[in-house]
Amino acid sequence: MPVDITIIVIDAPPLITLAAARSLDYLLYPDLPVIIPDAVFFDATNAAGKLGAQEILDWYREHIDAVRVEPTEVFATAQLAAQAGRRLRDLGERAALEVIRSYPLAPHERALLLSDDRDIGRVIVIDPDKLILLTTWDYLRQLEEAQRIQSADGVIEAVRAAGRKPRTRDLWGDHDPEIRDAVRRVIETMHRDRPPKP
Amino acid sequence: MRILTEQRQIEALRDYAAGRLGTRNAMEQAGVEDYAELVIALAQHDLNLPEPPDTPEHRANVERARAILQPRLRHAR
Repeated sequence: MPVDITIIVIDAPPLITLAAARSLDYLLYPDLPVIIPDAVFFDATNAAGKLGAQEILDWYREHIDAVRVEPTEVFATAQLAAQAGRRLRDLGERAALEVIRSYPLAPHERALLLSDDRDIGRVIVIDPDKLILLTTWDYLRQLEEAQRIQSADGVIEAVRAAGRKPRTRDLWGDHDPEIRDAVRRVIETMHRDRPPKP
Repeated sequence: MRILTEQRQIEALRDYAAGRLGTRNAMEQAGVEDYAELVIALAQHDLNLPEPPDTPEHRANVERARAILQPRLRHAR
């Protein structure tokens, strides 16, 4: 029986790193479904002008058939908390955990988890036989080994070259309208797909 | 005081680049708000992104991923 594989990007750094190197398409090279928890997507795109933010939004719109931004209860709760002036910590990781837990993997299924946070290892404790944790660097090295890209180092060099002076963090109301629309779409999808609680 | 803060930031960035510090701890200790700013701070101090730690668990993960990815990458479009 063939093994079904999904790539789940469980924190924002892989997206930002690949976007900074204009290499987000590398995520699509294995021809596998790509899932991004909504809070991770928001983390990576929530400030207009931030490194990689616009590239990630454009890339997502171009590949909406292959890339799914997965809605979570955690993110919905955080939106309500934000309206009340509270900011919840570790949102991306908690949303990723929710996504992983809501996808019980069948015996023939595996998930490649892409993360650059070295403290994220505890996530795979949920199902260590089926969850395979990789860093962006590991992933790039596999692409290089398969001769799909010339050099993993070259990608990292491109990221470094993209470094620029950061802007002051914006508040929600100051965000680029396109970003606000993207987040709203995520929330609308969540409400549409999830039945109301009794 | 400012010099001390900058020294602490550089130490945090060096620890992160050397793989001794996780991303979230590095952001907190370097006093940056998110990963984009962390990448920019690394570039400004001529430091590379970290390579993952060489642990048995990590090597096992890479091996399992290689078994899945390599055939797909070689035969994909």
